[in-house]
Amino acid sequence: MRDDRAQSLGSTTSWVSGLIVSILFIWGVSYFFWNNRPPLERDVQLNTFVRTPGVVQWRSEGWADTYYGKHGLLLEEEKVALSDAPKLVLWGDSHIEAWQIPDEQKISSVFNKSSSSLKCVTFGQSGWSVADYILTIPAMERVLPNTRGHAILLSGMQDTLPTRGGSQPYSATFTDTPSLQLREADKEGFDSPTHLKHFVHQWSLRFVTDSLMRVRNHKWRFTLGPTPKQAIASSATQLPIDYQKAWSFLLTQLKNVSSGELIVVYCPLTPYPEEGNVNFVDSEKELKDAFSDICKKNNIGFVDMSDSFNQLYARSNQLPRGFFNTPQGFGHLNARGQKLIAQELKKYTDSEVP
Amino acid sequence: MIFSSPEFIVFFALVLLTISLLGPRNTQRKAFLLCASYYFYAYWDYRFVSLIIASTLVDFWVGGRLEQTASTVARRVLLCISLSFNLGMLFTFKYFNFFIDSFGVMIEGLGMHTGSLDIILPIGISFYTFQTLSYTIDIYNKKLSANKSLLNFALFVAFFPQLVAGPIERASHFLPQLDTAPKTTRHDLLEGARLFTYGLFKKIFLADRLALFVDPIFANPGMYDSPTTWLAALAYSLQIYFDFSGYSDMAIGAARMMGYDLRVNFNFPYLSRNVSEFWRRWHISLSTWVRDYLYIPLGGSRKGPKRTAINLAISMTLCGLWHGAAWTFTAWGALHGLALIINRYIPDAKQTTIRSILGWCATMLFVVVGWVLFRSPTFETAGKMLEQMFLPHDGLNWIAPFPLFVIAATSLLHLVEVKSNWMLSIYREFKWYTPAILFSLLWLSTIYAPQGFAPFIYFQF
Repeated sequence: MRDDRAQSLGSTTSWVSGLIVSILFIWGVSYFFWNNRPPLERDVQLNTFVRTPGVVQWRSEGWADTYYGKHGLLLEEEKVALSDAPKLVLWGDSHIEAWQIPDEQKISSVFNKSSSSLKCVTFGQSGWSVADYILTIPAMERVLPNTRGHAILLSGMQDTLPTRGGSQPYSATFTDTPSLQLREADKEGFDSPTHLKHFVHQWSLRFVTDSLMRVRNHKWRFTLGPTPKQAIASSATQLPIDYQKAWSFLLTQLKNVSSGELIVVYCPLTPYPEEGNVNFVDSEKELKDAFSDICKKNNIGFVDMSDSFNQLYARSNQLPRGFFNTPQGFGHLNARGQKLIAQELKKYTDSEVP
Repeated sequence: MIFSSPEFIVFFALVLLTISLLGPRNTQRKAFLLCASYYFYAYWDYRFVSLIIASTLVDFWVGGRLEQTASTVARRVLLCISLSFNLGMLFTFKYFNFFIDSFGVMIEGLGMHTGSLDIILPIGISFYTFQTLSYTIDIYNKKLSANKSLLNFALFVAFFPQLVAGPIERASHFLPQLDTAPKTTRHDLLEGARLFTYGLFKKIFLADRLALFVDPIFANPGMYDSPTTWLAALAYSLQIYFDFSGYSDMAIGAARMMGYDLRVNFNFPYLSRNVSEFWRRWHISLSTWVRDYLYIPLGGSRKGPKRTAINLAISMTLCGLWHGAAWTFTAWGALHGLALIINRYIPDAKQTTIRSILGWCATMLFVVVGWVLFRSPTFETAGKMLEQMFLPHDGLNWIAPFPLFVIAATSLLHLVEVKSNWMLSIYREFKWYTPAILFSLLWLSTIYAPQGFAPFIYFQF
């Protein structure tokens, strides 16, 4: 009798309808509570891949919607960017994309609210480095009239160093093998966004693609344990980087592509909680100071956010990174961090940029 | 491999397929399950399969000899062999370095040299040693007959669903199930899959996501303000419950799909109105083991209130120590022992609603404070956490919505359970909307699983 009941309850109909109901359920949940972003497409004028116009909905870190317009520019910046207003282009990676916070709290919005003349326009992508910015600046200056200068946001010093490994897809590489050079991204190797990708974005179906990606990216293991510890490449076996030479090359390349004002904005990973205390000591301070000296020698401005970030914690017990759904002090810059950068950049441009 | 990994899904599917093809051929079925269980364990570390096999052989032999031996002295010697071997193994691998670190200064003061061993803790050792000990002790007490089949006994010890984190099975409950090949019905498959899915959801969607909030706060105690610290304590209380009960559900569900019945290990522990009730609902297989093999042999409550208190203190302190080689675990166990002692002195009275609510509040407050001690790696961490909780403090504020939501939803569902047993019916019965629930939980677990490996909390014990 028990099995008869199970037979009727576990019928094919109840399972099929249950699957359909669950798909509708997860579709509804992910519509509000999951990430969704339009695909990248090739911008002919900029000769790079940019976000197609649409909304990036970000929920896994922070909670915000970011609106994109033409050329991968933020929608609210598009009008100003394409106008004749004097502008400063702020370049960066995911810290400039800033999908974690609403558009009105991003660096450019805060900067532009307090600036009547010079306007800030942001441009960047996750995984980009200084090499990408340098290679894209000439095209950007053709697209955006009256560009007075460029600022580069660095989160840590890694993006200024030559990489020895393989390049990231969609991004250029700064390498010293066989010699110092900037290598373009392999743009020919990438497909244009298919109708399927647009369909997935439009109908918020990322829960399907993300599930499939998880299975595809899973590193399967059926061999007996223990798993051998991955060998960490000994730094002694790698050739040391000649920082001075590498940076001189990089900054010369930067100066060659633009005659406008050049600024580097450095954001340390500090302050962050560590072993019960807040760590204010930037482990990359030496590198940063050396890079700052070279910038000054090359007449490139250097805005150091270290003190500003530390003082934020000292006066308010708040940190410039971390969101309500992520550990405090880690990850991307939150609205407080973005605001501090906007303020420091404004201060610098008011005094240094004509 | 952990239950929530894709590898386990593939492994388990192959196991189910094979045993269904083997049908009524019980010996072949058991032999296959034994090999599968050893593979399951060797997936972690093949070197430690030898320990399970050694424990199996020793206790099987001891059990057989106990059955045949009438001499009291000889029976005691045999029991001591089993106890020494299993507890010796446990001490060596789990507690040796702990005792050296704790008492090294004293030992060296006596002129002896100490040195720690470079030992890896074999996963599940605390569980399977207790399981085999229950077998030999039951035979010694003549509550059980020795099993004649080494294959059956080996499978009882190594059965993979409950090998690494329980439930701690009793031979009297599990061994008889191996005498004949179970006729796994469609009902068993559905019930097992249902339980497994609930467990998977509890582990991946609830426990692992709560850990993302809890871990940074316990790693930096004293840095967060009082509300944040309270939220972390409550979140951890739920994290450990979902993690462990989720594992138990998956173990029981997997066993059910193969036609075997494992004991229930959790029964809504956060509905308890006193500490005694809490231990009848939390990790039931361990609490009954401690009761039957430690507390009652010490005398239980038969030798007066003073001796009862001592027996409770010893039993719970050792229960705490079982959880891990650290003084915080021992202190946690001792604290629960003290609470159980105090509970015995609370006079019985008619259970009114007010008394129930007050009792529940007091019990939950105690349990949450205990979990802070349990989770903290050191007393210093526990002290800082408790100070932040009970003395208002400034600090970083991080009131994350997910833990709040889980606490609220769990509280509501428990309240519904008190009123109508609805949760229990969902849990225990297959209803027409069960497939929709199961698929939805699977989707949530897949989409929202945190990246990276998150071991079960009780694996470390």
